Amino acid sequence: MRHRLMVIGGLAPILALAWVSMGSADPSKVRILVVSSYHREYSWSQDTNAGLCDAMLKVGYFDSRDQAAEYTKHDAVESSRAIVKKLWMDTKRKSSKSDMADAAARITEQAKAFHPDLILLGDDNAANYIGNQFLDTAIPIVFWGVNNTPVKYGLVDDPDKPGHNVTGVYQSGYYKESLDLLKVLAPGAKTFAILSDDTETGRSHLKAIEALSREGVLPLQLVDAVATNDFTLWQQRALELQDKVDAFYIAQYAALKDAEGRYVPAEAVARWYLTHLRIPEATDMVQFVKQGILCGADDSGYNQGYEAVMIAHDIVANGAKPSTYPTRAPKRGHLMVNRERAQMLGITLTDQMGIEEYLDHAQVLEDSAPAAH
Amino acid sequence: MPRSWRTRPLPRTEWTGRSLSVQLTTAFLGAVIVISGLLTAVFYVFSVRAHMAQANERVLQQLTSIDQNIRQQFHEALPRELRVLAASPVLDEYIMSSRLEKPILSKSVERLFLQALTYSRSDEQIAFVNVLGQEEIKVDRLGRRHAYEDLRETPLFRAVAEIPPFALCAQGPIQKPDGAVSYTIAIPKIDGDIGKFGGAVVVRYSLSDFFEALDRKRMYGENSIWVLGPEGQVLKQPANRSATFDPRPYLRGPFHEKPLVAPVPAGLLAYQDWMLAPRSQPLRVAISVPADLVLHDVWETLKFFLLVFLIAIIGTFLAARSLARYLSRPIVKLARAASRLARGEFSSTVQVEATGEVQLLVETFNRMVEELRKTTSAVHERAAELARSNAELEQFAYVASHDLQEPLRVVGSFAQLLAKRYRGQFGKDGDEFIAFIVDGVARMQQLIDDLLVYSRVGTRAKPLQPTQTSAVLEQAIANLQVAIDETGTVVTHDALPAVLADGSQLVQVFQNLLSNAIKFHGTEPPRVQVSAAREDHAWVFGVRDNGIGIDPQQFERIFAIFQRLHTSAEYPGTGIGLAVCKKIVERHGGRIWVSSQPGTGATFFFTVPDELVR
Repeated sequence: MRHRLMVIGGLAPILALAWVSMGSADPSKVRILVVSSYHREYSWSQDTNAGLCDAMLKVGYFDSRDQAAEYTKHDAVESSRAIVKKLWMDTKRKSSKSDMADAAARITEQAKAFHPDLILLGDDNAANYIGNQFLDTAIPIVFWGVNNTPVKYGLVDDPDKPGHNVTGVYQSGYYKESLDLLKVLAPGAKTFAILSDDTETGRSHLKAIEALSREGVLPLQLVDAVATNDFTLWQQRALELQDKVDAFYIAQYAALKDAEGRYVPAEAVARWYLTHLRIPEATDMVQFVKQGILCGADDSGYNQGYEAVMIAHDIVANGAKPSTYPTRAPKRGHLMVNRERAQMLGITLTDQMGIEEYLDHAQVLEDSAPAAH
Repeated sequence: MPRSWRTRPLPRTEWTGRSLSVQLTTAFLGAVIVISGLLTAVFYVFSVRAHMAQANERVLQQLTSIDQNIRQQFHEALPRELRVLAASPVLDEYIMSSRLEKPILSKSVERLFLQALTYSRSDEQIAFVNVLGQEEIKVDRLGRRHAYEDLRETPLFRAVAEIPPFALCAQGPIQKPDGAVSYTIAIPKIDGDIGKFGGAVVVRYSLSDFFEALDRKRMYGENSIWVLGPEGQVLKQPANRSATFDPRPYLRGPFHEKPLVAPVPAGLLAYQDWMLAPRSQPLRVAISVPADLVLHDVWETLKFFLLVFLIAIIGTFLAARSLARYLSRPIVKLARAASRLARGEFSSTVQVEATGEVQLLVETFNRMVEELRKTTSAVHERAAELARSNAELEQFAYVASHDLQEPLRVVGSFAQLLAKRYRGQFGKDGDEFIAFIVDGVARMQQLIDDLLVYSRVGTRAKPLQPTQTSAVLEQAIANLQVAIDETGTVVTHDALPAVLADGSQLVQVFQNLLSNAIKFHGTEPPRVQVSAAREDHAWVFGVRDNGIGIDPQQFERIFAIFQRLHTSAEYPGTGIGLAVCKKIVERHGGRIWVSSQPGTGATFFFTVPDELVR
């Protein structure tokens, strides 16, 4: 009996997913397809998912927290009002052109089979590769997490008047605010370098910071930038630069690979960084601060997911048209500081520093965190 | 017959003013010239206006055509081409690619640019300049280029980094030593990763095609289009310099977005400024058409008109001359006939073929000549008779007075003999009677002498010849010297001229007038002043005395023969002296008169024509 129940319990989600995928549900329910550029374990993905679930609950597409949890766990759920399904591109770990092409083809096929009433696209790669497959179709598309500008990938003509069946939420990137906070924490810092992987997301952050530097609006002088997916090189360059600059800006490190071409988990990279580098750093990615990076102005993934669902609701429930629905960027999140990292760097935190949120521990320095090679 | 009629030459008839021929020719030619001139002037003015207006319209059409070319080529096609290039996903992919991918993707961009060069003849070079102003990709018509330039400090790069997406900015015109002109035009490329300026596509764009298109535009069969740079430098000029003029001296104005057409001394000038690319310096296209070219047709027509007018003037001249001759011939003949008539020739009439008023004039003249001939003939006959009668009378008087002198002298001699031998024998009465006879004979003798003198004025006259009147006066004074001395008369005179006269007769005139002045003196000793003044082609002589004067009522009478105002007892005389003076003066063609009041003296005037002067 126990085995039978276990089998039934194990098959239930599969059957539910199959049932949802077959589209046999009540046609009065809204069919929402969510496509993420990354993978479930990626902390940014978890942040955006949290925002998405809260918004779904708020507007009634999820009936309960359990449905939200089921959706988070099984990537599919049917509520009283909606049938929601999620697909992963996993482009952080499979970032080659061919990997992306394969992912795009696979997801496009699944999406067409799902017959969605609306598609939610998370972050740049989903927006670019999947969004363009459904551009100018009858299916409304709402993106989130597109870096720096919505006017890219050809989905939107104008931020205020998109002109097609696509609108959404983009990340304005609070680079200056993050560096301002760093300057407060380390007033003696005058120069900095950027550390990034060589992904579209990383490059976009890097180029945005370079542009701000050229505009002369940053509190520190940009001296150099590292953009590579080679973790070894990344490490080497970081160590070299440590002696040349006063601070780092951590743009992205989620797609670094080791000498054998294996993906290096972001946590491992963060732990190596924290244990080897002794100058202060900033980032605009809240998950990096959680992992142990000193400080940053939160360009919240939670807000991205949340806002995207609110826009989707306006379209589905209120009849708003994506072509005339202005894109938007969420307001800045908290100015966050990791106390443990500050302590490691010998920085004394005071109330006058304008810090809005403290993280007491560096996650990656806890025992359970994976180690870098 | 009056002497002057036959002997005096008629004053020569001279032209006064212009002849009929000249007047007609002048009038006709004047009319033709004035009308021709007016027609030419009106034609010229209206033609010039019409041609200039037409030329204005044509240059405006050319400028409009050029404007369309520029709009199509530079404001539409070129921006479209650059925007297509800048919007190319290939370029997007290149910009957003990783550093490892860039060398590979740059080849795709190079192919994209080379393809663009193939389709656009005017593109000389296309480059992609990164966000830092450094060329990363560059191709030209020879292929790929790897000599990259750093443009970060150039105005073009600075400008393109600031302008909105898909806007253009340009640098130029740039003129190479070989004269080729190009612009460097840049369009910003937005980095899709950040939505900000991520570099620029920079194209070196040749104006050769544009200039060739301008060269193909013709006006009056010629190309007169100039292209000038912002500093006035010549970027293109017409091949045929004779079909244009240099417009630069007239182009001093500011930027003219609208076409401007203005006539200038050298011809017609139209120009307009264009910004071939946004934020570039303007090009000025000028069309300078020389007046000779604009008005070529007018000149040709004017030449034809002038030829026609020249022929008309010559024709009019000949016609006027012929007409004048036709009209003046009878008049000239009439004039000649009148001249002959004036000379006393009445024999021939005027024989001309004429019509109308001239015929009437000729006939009337001929009738007048006939009538005049008849009248003159009668006058001549009467004058001849009168002259003959006068001659006979003078001859009679002369003969009578001459023949009477002998018997009178006999009577006088014997009467004086009787008085001398037989004084007292015939008693007192007898002596008295004999004395009466002697006295009567003496007075008769005086009368006869005077009569002889009077008659000799006509019969013994001498030819007129230059005579010095001062000598004449001296002679007269000498003849009267005894009486002058007796009476203590003082005779003075002004400077006296020489005249054409009979000297002896003129002595007679002065002598008679001086004698009268001495005879009719008052209580004071006689003073006589002789003067001479020239008036109207004659000398006026005056003999003024201080005698008893004459009542003005007697002025006419005293010049008649034998007329005396006093008795012989009061003043002796025969009353013939002034008549002699009058006859002599009139024989000389003059006249004599007196001015006087009783008791105030008298002045006798007479004139002698100043023939010497003539």
